[in-house]
Amino acid sequence: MNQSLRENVKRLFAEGKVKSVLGYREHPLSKAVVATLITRPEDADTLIFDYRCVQNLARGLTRDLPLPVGIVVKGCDGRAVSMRITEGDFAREQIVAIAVACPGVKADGKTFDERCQRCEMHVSPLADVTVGDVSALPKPEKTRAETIAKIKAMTPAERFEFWQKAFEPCTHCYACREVCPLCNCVVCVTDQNAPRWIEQTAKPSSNLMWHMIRAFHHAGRCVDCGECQRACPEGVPMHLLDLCLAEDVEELFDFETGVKQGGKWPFLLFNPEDPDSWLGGPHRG
Amino acid sequence: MSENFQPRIVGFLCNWCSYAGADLAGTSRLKVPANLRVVRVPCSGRINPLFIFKALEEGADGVMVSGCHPGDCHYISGNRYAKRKLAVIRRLLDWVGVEPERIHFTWLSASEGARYAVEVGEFVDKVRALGRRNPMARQGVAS
Repeated sequence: MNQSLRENVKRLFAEGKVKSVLGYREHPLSKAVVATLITRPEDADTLIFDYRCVQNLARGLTRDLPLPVGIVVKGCDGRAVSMRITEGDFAREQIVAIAVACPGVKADGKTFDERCQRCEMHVSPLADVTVGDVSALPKPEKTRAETIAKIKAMTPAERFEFWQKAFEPCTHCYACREVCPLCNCVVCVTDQNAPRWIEQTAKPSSNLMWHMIRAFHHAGRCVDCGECQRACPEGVPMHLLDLCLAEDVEELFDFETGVKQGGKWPFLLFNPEDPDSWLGGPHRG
Repeated sequence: MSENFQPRIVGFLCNWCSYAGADLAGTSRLKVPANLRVVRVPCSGRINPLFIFKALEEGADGVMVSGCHPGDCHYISGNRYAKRKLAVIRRLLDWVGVEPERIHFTWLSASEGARYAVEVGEFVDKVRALGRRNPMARQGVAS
């Protein structure tokens, strides 16, 4: 895998298809896997890909990188890159997606992450180069529907209680925002202070406000990379709320984030046939 | 006690249709419950989910959102975009455990003063039945 990845990157440099490549390397001292940007073909030998590559590198795509930029993408990362192209952050030709066959990652080093256990997209849908054996990838062990079924089954009061408990440890450090490949508002809504929409103190009401607006901003944009939850120092299951809304968006607008190229975020479109039943109750008048 | 409970409801009305409809209800001397506090917005498409969340956090017992009928938008299609957003806002509130009955969406034209009065009356009764204190209300806020 590593050998083939490096050869492919060198070839892309040689053919002039990329000016830089975002990938993973092992830190020489700590042995931790970190993100790296290489701009010389000889540095390609530092690139690796294995189960420790938990980060979503789409977060690191900025327009001041030497373009076109190659990026090593897992399935979920590829969806994020695809969504950023859809949103107009980049032109398609500015990105070279180096898709790796990803069996899943292990943030704890032992078992596949929860997000990977229900992964249906081990290879990026956006791929200019594919590395690794795509035929031998695991099947999902569970589904999203199963994951959110327990919330669906609750009464509103139980649900409210569940989220109150879940969000309680939140310290508003915003690691979830910093790590999210699609949290790219110029000024985050929680940092705005005139008006102050969301208080930055940790208390039940502001915890809920933050996580609700976070989920809303990701409705139809979340690519289910689960980085928010991995980055959270307090283990807040905020990604669960994203999953709930992802299901709704797929059902309402028939839109699967970052899977197909082109198209638009469903909130930027409308269909005159959109039913009024969405707003609850039949349309009267 | 619960019979005396007067819910506080925040209404986001679009400037061009619903607000004029509310105005018509007033000039027609129709009785409209005073529980609704109206916020005039330029278009239902202007409504940010934060408006609704913040109203609930600040202790509103219910939120009413109203815009022009689909096809009648002053800005041609603002309300159609709004519909998509509101559909997801409604579901999000449901997911976090706020009773969806506390939110009321309706399309109201400038000529529907009488319907405005009826809609508000019905919604106030519905929220009154749900009772005080929406779960999202911030601690310490009067209810």
